[in-house]
Amino acid sequence: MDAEREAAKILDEAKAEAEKIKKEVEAKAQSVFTEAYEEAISEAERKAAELRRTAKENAEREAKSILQEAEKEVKEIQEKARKNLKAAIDIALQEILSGS
Amino acid sequence: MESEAQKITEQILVDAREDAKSIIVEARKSAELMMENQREMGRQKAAERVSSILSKATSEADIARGMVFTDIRKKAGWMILSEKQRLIRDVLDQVRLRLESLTKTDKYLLELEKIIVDAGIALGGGKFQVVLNKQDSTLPLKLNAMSKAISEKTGNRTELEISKERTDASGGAVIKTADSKIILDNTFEAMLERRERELRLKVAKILFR
Repeated sequence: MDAEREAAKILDEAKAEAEKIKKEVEAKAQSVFTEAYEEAISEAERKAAELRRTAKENAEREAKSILQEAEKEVKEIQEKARKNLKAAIDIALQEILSGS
Repeated sequence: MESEAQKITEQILVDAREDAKSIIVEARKSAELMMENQREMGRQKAAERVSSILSKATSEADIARGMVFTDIRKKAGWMILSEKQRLIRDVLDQVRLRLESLTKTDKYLLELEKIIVDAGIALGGGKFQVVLNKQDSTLPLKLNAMSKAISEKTGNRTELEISKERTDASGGAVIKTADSKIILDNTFEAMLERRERELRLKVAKILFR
């Protein structure tokens, strides 16, 4: 009979421990929910910032490349103009004097 | 007998301890499951906002990228265009200088006569006043020969007379009918201005070929 009482006591203590675990979890449930929610939002905001930063860097890099290309084209134009300057002046003069 | 009872007693306790252990293990499993459910619910609850944050960032990044490219392409296009305009302007400035220089050469008299004859023909012949700048008014223009050339070309008797009026132009001439109702300004400056648009296109074609 003592063993049965002891066994019942062991089981009662286990049930009490289980109940305590359950109550602790219930108490923590809201904060676990909130933590997971906030973590997901925070991760998304981090990814969003990264996305914006990467996009800005890429755009700046490509913009630099477009400007370098334009500068190259300007140099080519200047070189062509230098070579053809005399011909252009002669043609313009001829146009004015012949088509008065 | 006593040993048998002892064994039963021990077995009862062993069973109780195992049951107790199972109760606690189950409670812990259940707790962990509940926590995981809460985490999942938290993540699911956030999913819509997460999607909105990411899609807003993607959209903002695309807009910003588009704006940068539009601005930069515009700037690059402007760099090239403004340089072309500058180079064309240089040519036209050189042309002005060359025209001014031409007035100091022997060839100028013939050019001026040609300008006046062309104007007379364009106006269909008749009586004309030729307005020149101070320097050109001293040149030995062959007015009779020029009048004859205009008459032959237009079939209209032509008389040219140097006007007492003077222009500020660097060269060329203004030709007016005797009644001053029709005026053709063929000074260098006027010819350049009148044909600047057309000249710009022609100069550009040659300059950048």
